[in-house]
Amino acid sequence: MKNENIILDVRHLNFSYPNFSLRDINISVYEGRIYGILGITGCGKTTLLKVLNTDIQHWNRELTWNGGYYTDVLNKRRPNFVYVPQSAADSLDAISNVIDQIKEVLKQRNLALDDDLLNQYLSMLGKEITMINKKPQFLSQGERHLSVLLMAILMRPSLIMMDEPTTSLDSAETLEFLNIVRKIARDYHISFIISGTSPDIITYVSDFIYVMMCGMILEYSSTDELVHDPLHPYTEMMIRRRPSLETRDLTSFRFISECNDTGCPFLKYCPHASHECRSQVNMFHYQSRSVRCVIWKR
Amino acid sequence: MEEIAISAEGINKTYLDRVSMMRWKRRDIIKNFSYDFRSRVIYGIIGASGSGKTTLANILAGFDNPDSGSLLYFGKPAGHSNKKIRNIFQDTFKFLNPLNSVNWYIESVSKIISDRHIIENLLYTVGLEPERFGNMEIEKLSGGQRQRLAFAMVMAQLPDILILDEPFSMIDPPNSMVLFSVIKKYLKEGTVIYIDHNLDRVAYLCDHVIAFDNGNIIEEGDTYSVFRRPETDYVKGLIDASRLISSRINV
Repeated sequence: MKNENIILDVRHLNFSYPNFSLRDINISVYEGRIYGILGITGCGKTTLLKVLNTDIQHWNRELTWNGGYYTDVLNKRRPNFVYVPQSAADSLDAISNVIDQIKEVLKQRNLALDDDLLNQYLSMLGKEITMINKKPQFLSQGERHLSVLLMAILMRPSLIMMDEPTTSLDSAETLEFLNIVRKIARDYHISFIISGTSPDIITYVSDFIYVMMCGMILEYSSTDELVHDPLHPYTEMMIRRRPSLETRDLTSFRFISECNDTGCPFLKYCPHASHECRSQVNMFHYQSRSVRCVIWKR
Repeated sequence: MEEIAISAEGINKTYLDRVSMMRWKRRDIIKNFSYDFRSRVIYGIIGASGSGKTTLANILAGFDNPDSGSLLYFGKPAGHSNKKIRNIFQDTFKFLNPLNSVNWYIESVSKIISDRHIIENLLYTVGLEPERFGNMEIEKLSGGQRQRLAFAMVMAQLPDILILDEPFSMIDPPNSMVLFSVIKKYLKEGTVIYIDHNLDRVAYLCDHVIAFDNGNIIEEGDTYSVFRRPETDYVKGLIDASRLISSRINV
């Protein structure tokens, strides 16, 4: 990984709302890699993406941006990335064609629609030009999501952040979408940060995974390591306690939502909890992985 | 004792799409759907998006009228049945007033159930402790919290028929397992019709799977047989895609 370009580096980022806070977030994004953010609902995934979105634009000191810039219509230099919020596909304008909306968005970035590039991207998506000549309500749910992705890559960003991009897609559409994301990252060297609650979707698409709970990153691993040998008990729970045909005999009557103000957020639910977990737990680095759990203290 | 909870006979539903100023195109959503849903069975309805699952749920729950066909609940038409038919849909703002508090809903539900403890216990189980969340207005709750409140309110009434249309779309997998466990524990006698595009969740909860495409059933059977040996290419495609997505995690 040493020879690769680092696009975004976040060091000790903190942020708080009145009743929620992100604590000590460290994230590094390399060129052409896909990063997953995995966590239960309310763990701060969306907040993190929103904070990254505003902080990169406002040159926050805790972040280093190396992903290049574009000039907007007001001739202002802006970091070249795209943030796709959760319901982006449902927020397409029902009145105009998809292609007009794409042109409109590109105009704000001082970009004209490059027909060659468009055709190249469309053939990669496996779609015809007729798809984007339609109005969004005449597209299938999967096509709407692909239109949003197309809009994002036509802006030629170096990083795309997507918040739960596959909700409301069926399994065939989800698979198609995830395969296209992987292809874009590989062929066009665009990095992705993708958040989600489903470990299957996140592990399928990502190269590296940040596991979050209560506004903290509890584990960072490559996907293969995370799947074969999860370090944090919370990660293990996320992977194992997943409804499926294989887990039909498992039941659970313990809802996981509460956060502790101090100590490990998973303390109340953890089978290995000890008194040490009540005070602040630091990140431990283990080979190329990190984990915020006292089991791994050395 | 097993009986027929919902008997649907020849249900049709057509929407009109506007193609231009004066022209409308017919779009058949449900085509001649007939099925007997039995009691004590959890049914799962699967299908690609746009296959008519949600329209079917609306019709079965009485939110939408079919263009033709008949629906009987325990042998009687809707409105003449004394059985409890309840539903939870994805969009909880459809039936939760954003300005009411959680306590208001607890009180309302307590009036129609025999034992107030049921609703309180359920709220504890789904992580909405009445002491902490009681005074909160619905609009202050997150999407997942609203879905859990709706779930607890409906489950406390121990419905005879429960129709769920993507009820847990905003709840993560480990926590949805809690809600599924509650359904399995409390509704042993009832009929549950569960609709979701997430096949893993259907496989976990349901006893019997109905695959829906183009407005009608194309395949049905016991969960294990449908998931292990799907008969149609359509269902096989959906199941294979789902299996491939979870291929890295199921090592």
